[in-house]
Amino acid sequence: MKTLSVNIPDNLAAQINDYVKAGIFSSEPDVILAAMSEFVRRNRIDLMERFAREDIEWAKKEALDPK
Amino acid sequence: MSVIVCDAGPIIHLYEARCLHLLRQTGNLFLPHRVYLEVQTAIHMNIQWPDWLRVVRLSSKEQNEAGMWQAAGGVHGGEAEAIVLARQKKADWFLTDDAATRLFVSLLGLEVHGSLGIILWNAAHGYLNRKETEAALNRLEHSSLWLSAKIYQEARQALDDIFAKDQ
Repeated sequence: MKTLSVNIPDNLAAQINDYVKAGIFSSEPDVILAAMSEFVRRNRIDLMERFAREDIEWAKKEALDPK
Repeated sequence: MSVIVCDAGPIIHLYEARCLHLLRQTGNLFLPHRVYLEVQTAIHMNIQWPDWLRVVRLSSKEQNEAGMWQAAGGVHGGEAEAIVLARQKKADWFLTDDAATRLFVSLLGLEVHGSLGIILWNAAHGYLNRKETEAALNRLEHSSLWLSAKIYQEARQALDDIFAKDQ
């Protein structure tokens, strides 16, 4: 298993700590693991890029022919 | 005016980018109460909830329908309620920044856009000048919405086309 070391802003660290204190997760690394899994599942990079490009093209068309 | 139903993402991200007001230009906006709660949980708004962002409480029958969408489509609760509301209101647009939801909703035949699209749409319709659009894109890039640096570069390049008539 690979180990990553990251710096986290204080406010985010406090929110992570809240999850542990509330007993939802047993440790801070578990929160981060769950968050990263969710990110990978939800943020399908290929889809996000495709949809963002669709929005860019949409705006360019709207500029040519504002409705 | 267009009827638009929104899930939590664009409200959160545009608020973080200090661009929430841009949603107002696009049409009549509606969101289900569950999405409203998701927004309240995600961010602390330093402003009063805008009256033009209309919160709709779904009936129990509609909530059941949302539960079915949630089970069938792998979408979250607020997104499922937004889908039900969008179909009920025959929405012109559905706004989301979630790729999985956008794919699912577009398969249902709804026109879907995201926060980036809303900023660029406002530029295309003259509600933002080029400098304001660039500043809005910079702020969106620092919001909790993740888009690649390549996409932001393409969006900035697109401003040449969008503002071509001004040159």
